[in-house]
Amino acid sequence: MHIQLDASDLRGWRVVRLAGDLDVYAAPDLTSALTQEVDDWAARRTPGPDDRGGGLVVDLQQVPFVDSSGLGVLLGAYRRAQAAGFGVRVVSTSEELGTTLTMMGLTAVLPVHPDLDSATAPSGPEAPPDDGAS
Amino acid sequence: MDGSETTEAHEVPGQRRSTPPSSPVSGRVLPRGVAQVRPEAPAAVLMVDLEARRVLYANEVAVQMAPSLALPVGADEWAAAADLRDIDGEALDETAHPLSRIARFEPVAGQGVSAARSSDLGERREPLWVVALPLDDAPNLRGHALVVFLPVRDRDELQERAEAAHARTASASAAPELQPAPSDAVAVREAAVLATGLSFTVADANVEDMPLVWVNPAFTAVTGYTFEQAVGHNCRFLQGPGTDRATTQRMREALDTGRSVTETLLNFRADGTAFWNQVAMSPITDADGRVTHYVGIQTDVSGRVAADAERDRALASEKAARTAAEEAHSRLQLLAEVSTQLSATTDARQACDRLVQLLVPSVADFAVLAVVGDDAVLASPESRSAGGPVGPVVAATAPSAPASARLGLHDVAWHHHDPDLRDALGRHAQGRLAALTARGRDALGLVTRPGGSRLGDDDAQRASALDTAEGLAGLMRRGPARDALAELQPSSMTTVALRSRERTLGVMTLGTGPGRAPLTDDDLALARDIATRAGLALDRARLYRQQRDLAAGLQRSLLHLSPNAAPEHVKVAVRYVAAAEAAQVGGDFYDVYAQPGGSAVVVIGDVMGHDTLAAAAMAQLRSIVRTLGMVGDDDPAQVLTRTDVLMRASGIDTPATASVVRLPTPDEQPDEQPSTVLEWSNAGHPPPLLIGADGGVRLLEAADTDLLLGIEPGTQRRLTRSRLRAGETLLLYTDGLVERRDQPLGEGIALLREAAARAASTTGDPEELVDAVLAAMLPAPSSDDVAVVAVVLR
Repeated sequence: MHIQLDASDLRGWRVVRLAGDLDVYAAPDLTSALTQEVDDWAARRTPGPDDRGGGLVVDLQQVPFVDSSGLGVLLGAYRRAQAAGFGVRVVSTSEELGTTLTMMGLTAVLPVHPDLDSATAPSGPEAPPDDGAS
Repeated sequence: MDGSETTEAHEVPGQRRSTPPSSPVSGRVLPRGVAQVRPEAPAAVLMVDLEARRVLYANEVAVQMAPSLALPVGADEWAAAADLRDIDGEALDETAHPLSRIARFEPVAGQGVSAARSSDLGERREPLWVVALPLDDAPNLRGHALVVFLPVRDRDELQERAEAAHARTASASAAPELQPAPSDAVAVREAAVLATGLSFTVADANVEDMPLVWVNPAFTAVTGYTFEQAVGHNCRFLQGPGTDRATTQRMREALDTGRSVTETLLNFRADGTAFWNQVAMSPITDADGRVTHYVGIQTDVSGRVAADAERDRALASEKAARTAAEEAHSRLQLLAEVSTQLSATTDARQACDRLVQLLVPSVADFAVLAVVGDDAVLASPESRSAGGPVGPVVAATAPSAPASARLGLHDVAWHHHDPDLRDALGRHAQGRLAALTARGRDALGLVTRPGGSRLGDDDAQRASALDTAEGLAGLMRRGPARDALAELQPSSMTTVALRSRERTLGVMTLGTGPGRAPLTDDDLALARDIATRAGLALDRARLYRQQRDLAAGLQRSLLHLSPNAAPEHVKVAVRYVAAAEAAQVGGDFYDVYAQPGGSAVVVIGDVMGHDTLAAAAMAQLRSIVRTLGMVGDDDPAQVLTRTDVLMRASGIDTPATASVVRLPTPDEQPDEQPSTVLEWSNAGHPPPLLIGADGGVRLLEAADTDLLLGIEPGTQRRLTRSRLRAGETLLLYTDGLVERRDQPLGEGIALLREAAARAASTTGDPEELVDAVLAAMLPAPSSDDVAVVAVVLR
């Protein structure tokens, strides 16, 4: 019951594909793996002129279940990415995940895209980082 | 010319698997058509397309039979070029011609033919045994057949030998075996195979690792592996311990370079028995000389090799190697099992029960485990000798306490292989620690030896200590425990300390009874290895227990609501359901307090994560919300906004959801039921419910939910107002109530609405209502912690 991770570069984005349940059991391993991905990406990414593209995409299309620990992992990645100046997008068509993210007010923090194409589009429907945030 | 019936080989019963094989002729005059294959001579192999009647591939021997032809070529043309005739040199007629028979899809089990053979000495006819095997079973070779020409001994020569053997057997009534002349011995042993029963294999040279694509039934008969078991694998599965690596290396080199090769090697049947297999591998090439397949002709030549002791030796060493390997394997398995079993539980008692079950009977006849209680720890010899702090070795409690308590040790688990002796072992285990003499304690390794000491070995102190009742007398005081041990009749015993991080956490005693060999050094090494693992597991369980107790205690103290917490105008019911899995501590919390202006404030929240860290973050978060909410009359949105800022400032970076609801004192309206306007703000938390007495249920929802806490301290938070009337219940909960692996959040909330409506129709009391809701929503033990708060106006 382990989650699998597979990462690659796509159109200036770092795409991390996950397969398996994103739950309390997967959380510890995934936390360190995503931390590593964010740090590596922060070190080598080339931000665009408006610094909007080129963040991290977490592809959850092969993830049937996300619990609150799993969301915590994604939020951890988001915060780390935010500190390094880029965003995190999620690819998922799961209605359940959409419901949960909406309920937690996370749709602006972790924008959900239906596919990799739109998630890696240069100007996706991603809210620009809130300058007053920090 | 013979008909096909008489040219078929006559199968000699038991021939194919006889060990040692008797001579093929079995002392009888050779039947017509039976030939004796010379396994050392190379065979010619053709691959024929049956539909097209064309020879597609040939090995180099076959190419030599018809050297002038270029492949692919018609089968008849090839037969003509090779000048195939019958065994006596007469022309083959159409019906008897092997290639014609194959083309009619007739398997040719064996037929004698002859072919012209040119050499420097002129032309002569060579007797051949032709076997044709349709390859219909092979996936990519359907409609193909393998035609193999095997060189055979001259018929006349064979006939002479058979007759000679027959005569000898009849006169000397010796074993019915071909008795060759001494000078001929090697040749005859080499040839001890009939053409029938030869096993053939075809391997695909174009596929990685050259897997078998076809084997004939004789292969199954010889090796015991079925077609399905064999095909798809490289034929090295026949090898095993004792197979000569140099031989297999030579074969591999030949195959890698596309050469043919013949080797004799020790192979193993499916049932594990060994046989000497002479394998002739021949590359089959296409028109371009590219190797497409390898045809293997395998001959069980065990008889030849088995005549001498060589095979026996090989078998013996193979068997020893196998036994040793199996033993090593089972030990490794046992160790792995110990780790798995012990790490699967954080309950020390359960771990000990599992451990003794694993130890018996795989390592010993009986096992007893004693562990140190959490309150006392045995000092390690290292810490004593190093002059470090000395733990309570024997005097942790008052001298009047039982000796076992003084040791800090408790026997917690024991098991005997023999059900009839379990009672005696139990009596021994329950009393043994109290009955130990000083020498007995020493023998248990409690003080002197961390590694384990064996009783019954050559050690001067302990030599045959348990051989007699007198030996026992030195270790234990007279009494039921000693008597019980005598009943077990131990032939050897060892006690090993279970240690972790320099501390002894328990001792493991293993013993053998009279029906089993005493423990060996190997057993002792294994016992120490197991003890190391068990010690780590026990330590982990203990740490876990302490941590769990700490977290649970923290949780309990935090979730306790003081009786006067809630203002007069509200009535509150709270429930906290801990997860069934003891391994987790949730970050769920609730709180109820009054503001200076008299409003009641109800808080529910959930810190992400399930560990002590989450529990600690929960404690901080709860106190931040309470402090910010109680010092003034800030509304819930202001409280949450400041909480977020304070969390960041305090370094609490664990995300959390929270919902804060303020219930001002009800309006004073004499002619109406009391009601109040709720003010609430929600930071990513599942929406609270407003349950009407009529069963109507509303969600406290805004168009958008604000972001959860701990992400963006600058988040703007909304304040929303909703009216709460007398008789209506405000229900707050954490996601454990509604979300499960098989139940998405939205679905769970819908179910909760229904459950709440049903509950409200039966009761208006918040205590009864939360119980009814919990019963409906959590029929089985939950996998997550759940917090629920219900509030009504008085």
